[in-house]
Amino acid sequence: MSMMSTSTQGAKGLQGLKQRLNARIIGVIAALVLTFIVFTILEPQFISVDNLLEIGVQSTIIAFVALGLTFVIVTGGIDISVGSIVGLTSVICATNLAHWGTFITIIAAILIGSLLGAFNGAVSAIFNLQSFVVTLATLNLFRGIAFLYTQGRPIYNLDPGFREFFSADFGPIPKPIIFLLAFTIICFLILNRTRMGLHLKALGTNADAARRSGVNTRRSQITAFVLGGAFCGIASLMLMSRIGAAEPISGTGFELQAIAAVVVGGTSLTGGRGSIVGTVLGAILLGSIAVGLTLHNVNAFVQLVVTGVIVLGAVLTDRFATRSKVGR
Amino acid sequence: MTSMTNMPNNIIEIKGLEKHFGGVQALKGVDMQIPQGQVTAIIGDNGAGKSTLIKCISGIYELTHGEILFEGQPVKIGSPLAARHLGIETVYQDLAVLDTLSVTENLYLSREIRKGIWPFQLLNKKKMAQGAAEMMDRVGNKTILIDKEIGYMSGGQRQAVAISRAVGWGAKVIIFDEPTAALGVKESAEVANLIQRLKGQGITVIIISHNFEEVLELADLVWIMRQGKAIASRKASEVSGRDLVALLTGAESA
Repeated sequence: MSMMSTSTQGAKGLQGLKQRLNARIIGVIAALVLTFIVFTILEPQFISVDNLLEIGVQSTIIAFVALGLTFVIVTGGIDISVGSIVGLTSVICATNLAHWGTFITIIAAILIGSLLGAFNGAVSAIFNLQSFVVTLATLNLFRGIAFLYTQGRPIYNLDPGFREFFSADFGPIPKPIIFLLAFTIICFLILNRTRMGLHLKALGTNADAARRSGVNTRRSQITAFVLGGAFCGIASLMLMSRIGAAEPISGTGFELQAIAAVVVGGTSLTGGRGSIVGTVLGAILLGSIAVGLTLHNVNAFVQLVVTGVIVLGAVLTDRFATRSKVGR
Repeated sequence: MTSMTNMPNNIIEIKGLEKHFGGVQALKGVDMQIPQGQVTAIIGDNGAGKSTLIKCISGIYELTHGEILFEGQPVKIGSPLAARHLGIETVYQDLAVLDTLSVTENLYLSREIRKGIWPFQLLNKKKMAQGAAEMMDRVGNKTILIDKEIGYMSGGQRQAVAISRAVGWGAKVIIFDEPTAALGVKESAEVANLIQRLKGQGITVIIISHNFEEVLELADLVWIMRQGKAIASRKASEVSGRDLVALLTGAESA
């Protein structure tokens, strides 16, 4: 991750880019470029259009979870129950898909995700609890309900019409990539151009000062978790349409991948600073490394090691960036 | 209790205010009058209840007992926003500014100007930037970069932003909690100037301070608090630093 620190200097020269497009994003881009160069040298097929689209599609599900999680992390909270929200939402929607039809299922997935997120947020905000502890509990709670709901059975053979809606190609481009692009723009606007986004950042920077400045901190905290849950709902739809099935175990481990994407993307785990574009790039970085290593038949456990090293590098970069600012 | 009760123009009147934290009585029945358009200082030893009193007036704490009259009307100040709506603004000792936000964002936090139709309302950055420049102008600061993050600024600059946030919204009462405790000599003088200027504009100013010299120089009226009560008030022109110390420590009774 040395390119992250060196890029800090490069960033100063890039006057055209806005100040907000911070050094960290340039760091992620540098890491992405490096990844692409290395894998392309090893295997020229890596840079082919088909493979790039594959990377895009593979990254979308985690990218959606990570987008929502960015709102939570920017408030200084964390939601480690995201994988379980995906699991529970998936099995409820898959079970009722035939009844509900595509349209109602989409609405339902977003609503269920939001509701589960709202529960996390409300319990944390009202009882003044660490969101880590609350979502540690709901990680088990939601997963358990998912198993009970289907009695442990997976649900196969989802309606092809539903699957088409999310995973077919639109012209030459797979729909998941288009959805991701659209929601990246929406999330960017929410975080950087709305009152809600401003209040989320204020809450994450200094909850006490935010309250004294007139921010309804409790409402902001719950809002962040609702957004996080809603995006888990969308991720569930993507997942169901991609694999054509839903299992109570769906989404297991998503929390770690999503947190990794958010942190690699330059959002501070201590809150107050977040980058939507960084989060998506972080998800794509982790996705492209996974695809690249798979392309070389590299042991899946090595992927875990590589991901771990990258996250560690990102966290250390964040640490040094914060320390140098505080030390002023 | 004091001569102030006969004055008609008290913008804030506090009657029998008590604040308990569990078993601890931080305020044990405070009676206090703040005259309109003047500078009132509240002094007291650590733990005398100055900060608690201010937090009750600015909507951070709920009162346990007692009432607050604002412009003669009993009011319930349940939140910082409620205080703001009445026209009471507070400049906190820690300034309560948000380091990761720009000057403009800090000035407009929770009073954002927006454009568009619900639910698609975006921040009107242009209008807020114009407004922010005007607000900084009003406190005489033309050099500050309004789109810069406040975390990168000096103590004096941060204070200027916090003050202009209080002044810029047409407040009737501005409370300064230890305004110069963290500032250098030059910056303290600037704050003193500003307080005089606010008074000139007819704004009521309340100062919490440890610094007797500053209090006697700036204030028209001084309230002395001890052990959770307001024990005396004196006109600043009729009292010396030594008198204040005597009142503060209880060597002289009210």
